[in-house]
Amino acid sequence: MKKILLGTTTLVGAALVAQAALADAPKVTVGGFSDFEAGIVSDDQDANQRNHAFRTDNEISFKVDGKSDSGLGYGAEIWLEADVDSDADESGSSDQLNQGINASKTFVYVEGTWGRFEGGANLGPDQTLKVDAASIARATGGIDGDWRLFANNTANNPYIATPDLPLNYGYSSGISNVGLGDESQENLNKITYYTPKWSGFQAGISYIPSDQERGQFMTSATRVDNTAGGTFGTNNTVAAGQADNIWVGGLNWMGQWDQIGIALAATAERGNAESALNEDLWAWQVGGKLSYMGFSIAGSFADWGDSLRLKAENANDTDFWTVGGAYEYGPYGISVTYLRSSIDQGPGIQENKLRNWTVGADYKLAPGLTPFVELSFYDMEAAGAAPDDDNEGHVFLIGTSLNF
Amino acid sequence: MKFAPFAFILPICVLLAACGDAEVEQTFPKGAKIERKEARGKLSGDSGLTLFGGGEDTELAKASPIGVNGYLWRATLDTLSFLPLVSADPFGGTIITDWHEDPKAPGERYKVNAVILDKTLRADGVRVTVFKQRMEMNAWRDQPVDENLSRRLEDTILTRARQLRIAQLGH
Repeated sequence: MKKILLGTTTLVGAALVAQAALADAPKVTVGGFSDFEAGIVSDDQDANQRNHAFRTDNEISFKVDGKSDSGLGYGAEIWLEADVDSDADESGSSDQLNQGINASKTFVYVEGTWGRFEGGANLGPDQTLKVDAASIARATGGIDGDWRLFANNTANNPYIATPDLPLNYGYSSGISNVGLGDESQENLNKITYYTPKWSGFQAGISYIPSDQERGQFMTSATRVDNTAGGTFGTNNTVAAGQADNIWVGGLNWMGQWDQIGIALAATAERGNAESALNEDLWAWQVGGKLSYMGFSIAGSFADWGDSLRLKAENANDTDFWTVGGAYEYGPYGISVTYLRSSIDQGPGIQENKLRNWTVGADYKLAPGLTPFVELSFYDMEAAGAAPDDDNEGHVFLIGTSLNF
Repeated sequence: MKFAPFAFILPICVLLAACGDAEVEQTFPKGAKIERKEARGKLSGDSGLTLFGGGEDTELAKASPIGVNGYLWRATLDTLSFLPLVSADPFGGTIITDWHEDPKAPGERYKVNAVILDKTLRADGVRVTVFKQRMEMNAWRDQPVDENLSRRLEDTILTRARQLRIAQLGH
């Protein structure tokens, strides 16, 4: 902001009022995306299955942005789900929670030179500030893409199939129910603060009262043995694996020198287990990315520890790591990403392991229009299960993404 | 305390507040999926599809025949109206005044060049340069100008532009 000084010179005749910050009228912007893809699946559990399917994913966003006279930015974002049928990725266990999923994100924000506050159902800094191999992935997102929506896991064995910490992975009711993850808890109700980016550094922190609350749904209704009219705050019934009083945060640094770019990040999730039988939530991830003249490599390591596991299991060695490379040349891009994970099943029991190689490529055909292809090779090994429960195979995706 | 692992946020905030000369960007993350999509561009253009508002300056620029922000143009003319004009180019956004000697301060004269930089109304959208001469031994000789003078004129123009916009938009 320019500073105003009262002057005595005769050249300046008008009133001198310090108001270089100017208000903007509120602006409403509509956007979104419409994606279509065809998937072909071939794995050990595809007997008697049609080997292909079509899938669409559509969202419409409404963004309201304004700026006050003092320079305070404020507004809201509403991302409406616009699919013909339920969104398996965003809603996940929504039926179990008896939630209607109409939107993927809804939040208000205020921001200024001091940073930004967000309040509502939105991603937290454990998602937005992290760096891992998926950060450089093309097509649908590589190891964090759509392959797992087509892959079979008929026994719903738990694996870590995407580079997420437990909360964002959809850990809503115990490790046995995570399957291949559904990200249904990435948009829990939260309040978030981000610092501005200072010489490349940025930090963020969120507080989440409960891992069951999203949108207008609060846990009071189900907290009294499923009896209607429960008192808010009572805690008669707790489910295994659920958490409350959750903090998530992240620290990110990005630097650029000519053609060389570096990004480093550390993120974490921490919360109380609602059941005394479970360990608390404590998981973290560190990652980095290096880019040079269109080439980039990235990787990460994450430790879930014994987050929200039954104490009796003594299972405290659940983790994953990612690595990947990508190349971008004009409108073309290609990436190779790899994830390796293991879920500790306790002393003397084989871990549940997952390995996934994903190669993806896309081409910016026109502004917002990006056709892509993606091939994922995965290998799932379940602990102590019949050989039929292991699954090895591949998914081929071809489709197009329209962003508007 | 569950917050303890995130206590690193607090010293970072203090550092940010203290180090005013550091490069600070008011940009905030959105997550890899959204950022991947945004990197692909938008069918509706970089600024997206605006339904309402936010376009007063854009609309004025479109409706106005001049090539620069209309509020800043008008405000500059109003602010410099006590000086004789030599040229005013509404398409290039330049206003050049002639030398002016205030009768109350003989022997000293000023001239102002003003350039409007953009079609949008923004705090750094106008640049003013002041020239000063003093009569010495029957000849006008260039003098150094207090650099705050230009800044004060710019602020006056911005204030006037804001008043014009409020008056036109009614808020």
